[in-house]
Amino acid sequence: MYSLLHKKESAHNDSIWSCAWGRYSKEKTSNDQDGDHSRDSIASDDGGRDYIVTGGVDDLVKVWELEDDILKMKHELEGHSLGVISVAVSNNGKLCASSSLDSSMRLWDLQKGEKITTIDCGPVDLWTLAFSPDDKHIISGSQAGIVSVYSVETAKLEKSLDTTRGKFTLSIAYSPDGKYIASGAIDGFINIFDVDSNKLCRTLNGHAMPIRSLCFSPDSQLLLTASDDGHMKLYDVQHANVVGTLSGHASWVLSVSFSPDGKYFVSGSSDKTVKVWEVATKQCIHTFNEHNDQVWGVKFNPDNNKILSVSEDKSMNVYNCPAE
Amino acid sequence: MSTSIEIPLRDTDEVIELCVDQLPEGDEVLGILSQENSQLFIWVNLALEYYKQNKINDFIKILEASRAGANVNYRDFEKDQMRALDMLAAYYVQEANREKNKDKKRDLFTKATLLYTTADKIIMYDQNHLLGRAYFCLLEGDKMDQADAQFNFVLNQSPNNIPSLLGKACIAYNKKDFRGALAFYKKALRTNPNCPAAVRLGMGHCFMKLGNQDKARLAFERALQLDPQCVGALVGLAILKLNLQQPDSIRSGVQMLSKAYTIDSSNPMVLNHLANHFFFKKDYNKVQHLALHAFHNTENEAMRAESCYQLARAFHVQGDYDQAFQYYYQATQFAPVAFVLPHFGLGQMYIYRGDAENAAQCFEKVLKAQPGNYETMKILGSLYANSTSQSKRDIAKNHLKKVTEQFADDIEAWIELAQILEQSDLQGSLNAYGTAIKILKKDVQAEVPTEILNNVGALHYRLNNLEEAKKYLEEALVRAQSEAEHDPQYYNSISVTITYNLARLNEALCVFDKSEKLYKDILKEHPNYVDCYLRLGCMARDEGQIHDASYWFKEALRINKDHPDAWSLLGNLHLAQNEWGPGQKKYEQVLKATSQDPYSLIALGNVWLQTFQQASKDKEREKRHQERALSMYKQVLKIDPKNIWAANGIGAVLAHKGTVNEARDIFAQVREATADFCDVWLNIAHIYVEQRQYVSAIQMYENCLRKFYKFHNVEVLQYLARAYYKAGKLKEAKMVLLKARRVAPQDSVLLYNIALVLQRLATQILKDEKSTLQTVLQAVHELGLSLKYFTYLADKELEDKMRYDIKLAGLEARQCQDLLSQAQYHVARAKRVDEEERQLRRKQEDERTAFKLRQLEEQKKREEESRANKEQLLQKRQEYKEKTKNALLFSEMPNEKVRPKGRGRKDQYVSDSGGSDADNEGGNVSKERKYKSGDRKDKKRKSGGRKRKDGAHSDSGSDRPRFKRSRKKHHRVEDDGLTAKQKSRIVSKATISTSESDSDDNKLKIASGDESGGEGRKRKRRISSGSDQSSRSRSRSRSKGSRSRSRSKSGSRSKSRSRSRSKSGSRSRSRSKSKSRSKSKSVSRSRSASRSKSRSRSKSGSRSKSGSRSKSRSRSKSRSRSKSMSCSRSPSRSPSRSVSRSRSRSKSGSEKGSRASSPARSTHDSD
Repeated sequence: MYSLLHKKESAHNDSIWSCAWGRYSKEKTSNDQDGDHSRDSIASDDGGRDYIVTGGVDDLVKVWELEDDILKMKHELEGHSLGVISVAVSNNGKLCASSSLDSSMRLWDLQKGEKITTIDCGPVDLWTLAFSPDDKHIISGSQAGIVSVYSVETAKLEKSLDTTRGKFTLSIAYSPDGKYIASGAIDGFINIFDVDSNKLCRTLNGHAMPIRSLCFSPDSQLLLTASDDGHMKLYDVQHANVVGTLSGHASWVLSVSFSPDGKYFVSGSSDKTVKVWEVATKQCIHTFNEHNDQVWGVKFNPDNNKILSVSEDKSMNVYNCPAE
Repeated sequence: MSTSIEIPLRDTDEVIELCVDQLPEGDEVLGILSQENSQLFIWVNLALEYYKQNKINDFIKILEASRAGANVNYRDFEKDQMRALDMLAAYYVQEANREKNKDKKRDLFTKATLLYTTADKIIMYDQNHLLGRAYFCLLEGDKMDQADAQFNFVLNQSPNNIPSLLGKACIAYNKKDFRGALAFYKKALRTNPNCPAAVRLGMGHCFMKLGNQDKARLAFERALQLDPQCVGALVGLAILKLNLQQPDSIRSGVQMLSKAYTIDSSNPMVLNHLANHFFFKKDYNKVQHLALHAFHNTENEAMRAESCYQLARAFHVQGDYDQAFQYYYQATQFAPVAFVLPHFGLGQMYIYRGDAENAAQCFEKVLKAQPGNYETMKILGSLYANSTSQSKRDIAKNHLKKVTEQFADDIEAWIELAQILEQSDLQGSLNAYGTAIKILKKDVQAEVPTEILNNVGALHYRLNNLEEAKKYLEEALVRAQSEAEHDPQYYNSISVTITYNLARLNEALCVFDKSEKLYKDILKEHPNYVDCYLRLGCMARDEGQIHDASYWFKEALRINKDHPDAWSLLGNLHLAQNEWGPGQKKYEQVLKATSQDPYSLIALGNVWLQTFQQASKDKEREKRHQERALSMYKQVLKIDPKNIWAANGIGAVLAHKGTVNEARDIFAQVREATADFCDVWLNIAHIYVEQRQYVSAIQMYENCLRKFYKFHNVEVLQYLARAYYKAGKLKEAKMVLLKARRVAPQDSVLLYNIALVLQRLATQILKDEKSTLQTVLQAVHELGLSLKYFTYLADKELEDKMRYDIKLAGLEARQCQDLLSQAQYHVARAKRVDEEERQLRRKQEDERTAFKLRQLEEQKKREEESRANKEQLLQKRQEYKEKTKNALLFSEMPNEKVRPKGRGRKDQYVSDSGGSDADNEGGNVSKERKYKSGDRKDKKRKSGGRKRKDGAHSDSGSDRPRFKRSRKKHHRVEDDGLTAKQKSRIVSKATISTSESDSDDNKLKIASGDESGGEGRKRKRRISSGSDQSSRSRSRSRSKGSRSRSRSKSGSRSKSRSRSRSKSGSRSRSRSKSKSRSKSKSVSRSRSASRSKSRSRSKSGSRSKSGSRSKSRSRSKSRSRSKSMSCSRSPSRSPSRSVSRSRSRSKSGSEKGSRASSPARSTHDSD
């Protein structure tokens, strides 16, 4: 049954703008993006440790753990200013990257709750973040459609992928197989870069309004985009064609996330709802109406059985989600 | 007896004896008379004899000749003269009375008058003469008083004068004094028990009138005994029998009528009643024949009215409505007030002809004569239901309510009521439908008609019960599809409507993919369904696919090149992209077709407003544009004094001109009128800012955000930030701006504003000596950011550098630098303070630790002591034990008290040395500027609703005759328009840029209707959330079922189209109804009417506001219904009426709500 498992009111002092759910394990596998390893064993092992990271307009990054279905704050990471736009957890669960409106990116050690480094960028050169599957790079969107690739090791800008005449890149995703980077721009264009050649290989223009979130399916075959037009679209990455258009949100779709098994995805919208969709049928199978304001971020947990959402209403929710 | 008359021969004593039985030819007698110079009385007597023998010609000849040729040289000749004159006059009067031809009649009357006048000169007061004159007056009509006076005169002289009594009775009867008449008759009867049958007849009529049927029958029967040929008595008896309503009594009544007919085949009363009889026998030829005959045989108007009515009814039943109309009309001309049936019939004919106004008048007359008549109320209700005037519709509502109260299971009335309530009281309407459905299911055991399901679905949609709506619409669709086997044409057309409604519903549910598919499916089969194009366009627009949207709108125009909604939507698209010129042209195009279209007018006003807000360099031009905008708005107000969009526009212009108070009043009024108009909220907030009431302004902005926008609306957030900034609440301002930047990172104006706020905030913090090190450091950090931003803004070649002043950015950057350089000082100070504080704290800490230590030591000591004690004790005890072996021991225990711990800790505050908050306002000048985007502009709005419909389907024949008439009207409500043709209502929603449109339509059974579309549009920048919104680029709007309320007032421009304006923006609604009713035969007469009506209404409103923003929403619904009813009522005013009616009606409504800012317009074309 779909149900609200836990609601953390006032998780931040103001709007929560982003969230991530990562898993640290000694075998160093799993996070929410890579799918197929023996996650079950991990979950039951003592080795796995889930981190939930949230970032808000109050400049804080908070690290939480879910213990007995209750969210406990582990760390409160200070240092950002002007609001945390984006947080990302590395695939191995050790690192967390966060970006804020002051155009600085910080890397944190999740276990210790300490800052590792800070990367300062130009005033409009940093937006949402994502780790590469090998955790060696962090990518971020930027103005003019440019995607910046930073090295985790050196904390330096390693390269830029340019789209020529693109618009501000609002959303970004790295394919789990490491081959592609996808970016969604404020004008609704979606660019897919080939990582090996550093070239723009596809441009999709299915939307005409800002793409605030996009993500690859765990098998890297599908790309899911969410736009202000209220629609989500599924693209076949290989052929660059639209596989499906999904509508049901009454306002902007702010965030989307695939389940690690690739069967479902979840979306959060300005209409205050969180919807769970089935990929096969492209139907909405459940709607959560638990927030009082826009839902800025949604994430599946690595086990497919929980969903996290964060909202403008300062609360974060964890939902039960039947994983058959 | 004097069976012979003697004519004395002149100059002799001889006489010629004429035997009365064998009167010779008149001429012969005349010859004799004149030759013998006979005395007058002989002439008169002879004439009388001729008259008695029915030799009228001879009678006249003799009398005429007597005047000249008779010998009057004898005594008392005057009396005979009188007799001659009176006799002749009486004869003429009698003839005149019989004469049908008016001219001849007048001739005869003239002759009679002449004779009487001559007689007057001879002996004025001769009794017989007076009586003759009195009857003459009576027959001539309208001289009853005169006649009465003369009768009275005669009666004074001889109280028992029978002719006078009868005359008086007659007068009394005609004056409706039946009791009086009866008294006179009785008196006459007493005086002369052998009175002719006529007296009994008169009494019978009096009894009838007095309601005493038994006595009436007795009287008639007596009359009949006296005179078996008495037609009047026969008729009276026949009517009495017929009214008994028993088959055998009817039969015998009819027999009597036939007998009367054989006696007098020209008696109109007999003829009429026979006609009536044959009407029920369905022998219409005979009816026509008899009634026509009756008509020509009477002068009596009531009688003629009856004849005409019979004729009309016969034609009506046979479907010859033109003839029927004529005769009904004639009947109403003749009919006395109480005879309302012809009005009823005429009303039906008017309905058939589509002349609702006259029809309503007719039925009003009926209702006046028979208040509470249920059928009439129902018809009136349904007539008024379609009226353009609110008061009429209210009347309709009342009528229908009464009907439903009286006849709680009259489904038709419930449905009508539901339909009329749709305009004003959605929930009430839904309840009425619910009742209708219940009755249908329970009592009639019929399936609920598809149309009702559809309408209920549409209502739920409008009430925002989307899931309910879905249930009903889907059920309706299934039903329609299954019904399609019987009547494919009709039900397929209904299916289309339902599908359209479903599509609208899916839009409301945000299942856009499904709606799109449904619309496209509809278009595959009905490529002329303009609304689908419009909805598809609106959906594309809301998704930001401007080109697609434009494509769809143009498709719509291809179908109907004057479609105002399509034009306005296109115009809105242009405006959304700041293409004023092309946008303007589109609206002008609309105005070409409908010069009064408020939506377009307001849109144009908005264009002027917008352009003068932008081009502020040229004062002259600005002024000119202001005036133009103003005149546009004024024009709209002239058309619709309650148009809130126009009012808002005027407020905006006023605000621009600096008359802020007036502007505020206007805005306040607009807001009172509706709370759903985002722009007005913003405008009011702008005014508050202007008047430095920042708290109120902030509240207003925040409410507006909450109410109208689901997402962060950058424009409103900027306004809000500006208000905070001006109110000196920099932190809040910063927070608001950050939220705005979260959704619009590319916005350089935002960046500028953030930089500015950061700088001011930092300045403030640095100046404040109380600031802690942490905040100071933070401030310095933010100052650095501010510098970074300003530098970026000043240096970069940005695309949108036009939006702010680069030079100012440069200046600000330098300022930041200066501040930063001073910052070290502040930081140092803060550090120092911090250091001191820390020292202080450390000191305290030290003290505390020292104290703790001491305490610890003490404690230790104590513990030690106690341990020692214990040990001692133990020892002692030990000793004691040992000692006690023999003795007792006392032990003592030492006690120590613990001391409460003593001191508190102290707090330390840094005292401040007066910090100066010198000028944090320093940079204000520049900052005003930067808020340019946030600056108020005015708003404009536009709204449009419109709808139209066209139906172009052919109808399939239906088996029963029906006519349809269609009428439509529009309303506009604030936002939507709709039209429907036949039935169906749909809802559409609109999105994006402030406009939405909707349309709907329906189709009828016969004809398939198409729909109308409306749309609205809105303009750029601000989006409204809430129900619909649009934004130029990033927002989408959607409308959810909006209900349109419309009240329209305004006349119709033609009968087929009317528009009304609604209070608020514009709304249009059109409805067309066609109703036909035909009477069908049945035992009694029945009439069946089938009517189908469709109506749609749309409302649209739009508004735009400062900057540019407009939103509108429109919705429209259309419904159509067809009903056929046949009712029969029994003839003659006899009491029984039976009604059988079957009706089916379907209505469908659609409502759509979207249309945006374009002012409303409506057009339709109807089939």
